[in-house]
Amino acid sequence: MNWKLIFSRDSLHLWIVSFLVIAGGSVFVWGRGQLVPETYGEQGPYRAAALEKLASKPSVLVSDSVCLKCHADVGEERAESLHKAVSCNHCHGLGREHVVQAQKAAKTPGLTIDSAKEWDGNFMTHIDLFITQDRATCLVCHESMVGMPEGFKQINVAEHLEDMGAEEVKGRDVCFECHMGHDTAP
Amino acid sequence: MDANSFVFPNDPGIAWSIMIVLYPYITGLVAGAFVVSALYHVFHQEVLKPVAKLALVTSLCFCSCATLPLLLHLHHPERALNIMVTPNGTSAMAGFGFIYSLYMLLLVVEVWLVFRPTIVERANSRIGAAGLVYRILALGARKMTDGSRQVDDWAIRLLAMAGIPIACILHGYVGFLFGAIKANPWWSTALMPVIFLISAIVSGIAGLIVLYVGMCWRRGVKPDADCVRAMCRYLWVALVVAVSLEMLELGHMAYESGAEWKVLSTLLTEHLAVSYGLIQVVIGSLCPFLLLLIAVRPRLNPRLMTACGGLASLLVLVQVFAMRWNVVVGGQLFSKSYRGFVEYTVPWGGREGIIAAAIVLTLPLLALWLADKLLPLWQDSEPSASLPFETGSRIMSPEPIGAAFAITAETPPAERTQPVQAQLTSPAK
Repeated sequence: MNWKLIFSRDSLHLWIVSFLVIAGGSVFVWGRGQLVPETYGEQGPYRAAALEKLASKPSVLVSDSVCLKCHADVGEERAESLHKAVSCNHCHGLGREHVVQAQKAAKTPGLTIDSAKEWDGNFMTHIDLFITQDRATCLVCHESMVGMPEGFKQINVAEHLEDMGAEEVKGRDVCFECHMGHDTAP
Repeated sequence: MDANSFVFPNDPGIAWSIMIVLYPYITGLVAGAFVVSALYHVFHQEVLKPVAKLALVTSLCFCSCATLPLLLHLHHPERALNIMVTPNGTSAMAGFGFIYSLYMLLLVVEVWLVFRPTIVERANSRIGAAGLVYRILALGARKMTDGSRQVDDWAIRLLAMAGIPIACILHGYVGFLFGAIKANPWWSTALMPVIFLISAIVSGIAGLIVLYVGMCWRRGVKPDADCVRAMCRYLWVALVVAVSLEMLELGHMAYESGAEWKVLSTLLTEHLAVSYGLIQVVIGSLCPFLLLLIAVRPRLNPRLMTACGGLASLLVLVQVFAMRWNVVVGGQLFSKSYRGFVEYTVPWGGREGIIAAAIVLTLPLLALWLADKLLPLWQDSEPSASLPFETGSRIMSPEPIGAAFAITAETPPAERTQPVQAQLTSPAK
């Protein structure tokens, strides 16, 4: 290759392409500069300011001890049950608004608390507090699944319902024909 | 440990679906097809000339669709560019955006340079909307001279040389991602990038053979027997290396017989018995191995050779898909605590179903069909003066090659629409 050609009119098209590539790269670098959020990268590959923002949010975790202040009977019911290890919000939702209302109601006589809603069986549905007699809640732990220890109570749903002679095999609340939620007996 | 203190299960199902199977499959075809084109442009394998352009454009078409499976799997396409805007330097996945973009840029420029003679000729001769498209593609450079042709040859070779390592990195990187997941004994091996890379070359060559033979059949022309035989030879060698590496890796795991081997052997003999044992090894590896041995025989009837090579290539494409499936899905079928298995059935519908996967695989072919309409993928449908792509001696040109394209905007429209061969015999304006 004659290197003089690179700087001749024969190479005009290459210079045009090079210009376009450099221009495109420059636009990307400039655009990236505009898009990168402030405080990004200060402490790692994330927005450092996000930590403060997250920390400033109120905690959405309602621990069992908060629930059991009012629902002491449930605490007694679960006392000897294997389900004592399962937190309330696992089966009833976060209950954050419910707790806020309950705390207000405790200070304001006559104030009513919204009743729990019926859950649709979808774990992606965000309901603050729901009553749950849905098989989905039970099966998330008790359906035969990889990774469970051998001693953990697991069932093959179809076989189990047939063996037990369940009446409403397809019913969402079929588990509660025989079992209680809080107390695991029998 | 009190098992009742934990919420189970920890392995409820597979997270990386058929779309993550398709992604390495498509990038493999991209890298493999590019390597074939580089064999011609860099290593002067003249026998591959009939497929050199097809290989390059195939690579571009598949590359342009390579991100679709990822977008379908990840959802939120509006966040797609975040990987380049705020990349995590400690994550191998963050490299994807840059490697992919660099490779795509290189492919676009190389394809543009390879087809520049045609683009320039059509920009000068076509009128109307089609002419406008070619004039835009010409980027204002509407003259072809001997000097510009030399510069193009040099640039094409340079890009092809640079493209080989980038293509290898693009696909080796996919294997690297799997190989670097140390929690998964089915993936975590240093051989994984190499296996992915070699199988990419295998799938690229096989894909080209199928495309070339299929397109020749559709056009009613005979495939170039020497070219098909040469590709079959390359395919056979690459297949032997790829399968040997896969078997070596498996043999190594079996010989080591680590704690994970019990679950892996059950995975292979029960859960992947069909997709691995039958499809990947027997149908996809052994059968093509024998068929290609027949196809590369020098004095074999060209029709039989093409049939054997084409069938073997189809089977190899199935083998590579099965290999991707067995790696991606197989690696998620067993519990990471080695306690059992989950099942995976691909749904027909939905964003990550069989129909969506078929559409994703069809789109590159649609892009190839469009490219065929826009640019001549075949030697006999392009301007004859643009035949030579190597420097040095020029091939049979009745006039200085530059003269054929020295047609300017002042050329009368009537003359622009004349056949190229006629323009070759008239002096340039």
